[in-house]
Amino acid sequence: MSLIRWNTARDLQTFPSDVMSMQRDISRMFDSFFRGGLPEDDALVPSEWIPAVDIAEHENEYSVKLELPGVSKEDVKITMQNNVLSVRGEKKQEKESKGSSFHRVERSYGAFRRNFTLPSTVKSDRIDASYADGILTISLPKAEEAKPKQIEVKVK
Amino acid sequence: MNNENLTVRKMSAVNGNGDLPRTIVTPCTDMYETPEAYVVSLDMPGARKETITLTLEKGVLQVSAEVEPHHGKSIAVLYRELGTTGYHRVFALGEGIDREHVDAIFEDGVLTVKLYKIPETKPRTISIH
Repeated sequence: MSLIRWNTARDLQTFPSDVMSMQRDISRMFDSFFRGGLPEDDALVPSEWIPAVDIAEHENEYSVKLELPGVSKEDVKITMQNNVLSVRGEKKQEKESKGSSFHRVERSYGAFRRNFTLPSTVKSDRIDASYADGILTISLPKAEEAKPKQIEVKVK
Repeated sequence: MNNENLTVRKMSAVNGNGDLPRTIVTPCTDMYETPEAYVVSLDMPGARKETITLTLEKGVLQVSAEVEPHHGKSIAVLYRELGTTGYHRVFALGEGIDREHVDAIFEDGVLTVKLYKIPETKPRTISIH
């Protein structure tokens, strides 16, 4: 079995821009209605590329991993509001490359953003994140009631 | 410089990451030229620095690396978009590159290879006897 990366951004680029902006307006309207409103400027930032994400469950935590190659730690912002974990940032082009002549550009640059609605069984005040080799790992510790418990059943 | 390998190659062998097949990905690459060098930067998130191999032989630059399994002891992977287990890409180099003078650094999941140009030989004055 092979894995194909989810890539809506590339498909959507072919859409006429007015349809896209209308769709953005509508989703912003729904967002602000159901989530009690994220800050307005937040909703207006379009995502220029979408980093790939994995979510895994461990015994004591959930972990979210994002592929962010070439993004420096300082340019990543993780926020938590109304049970929505939001990862935002920007991938900047290397300074040296500015003004040089490019032969090939395949890497994506610009702003990105991904939101995750968390289950209430996550200890939202104990969220931790680390960044290494282009992978951002966010660990979300489970609340006590969500951890697996072993119950012994006596057979009479 | 020409790229000879653009396709994503998938191998059916199983690696250490449970039942996932090995997926060797061609990393997205930028190439630019400065007055003194050609710079090739490859997006290789998750690659382990010690597994990166870079060879330059007969005008062909080869890059490959392994990616560590992402979820060590997990109960379940709930959502998956990351599937890369390794990277591989081949570049054919043109003339004018100093094969003895190549720099490479790996930082934030990006491998940057700097291939220095051979300084152009100065015009030589030939005296007539």
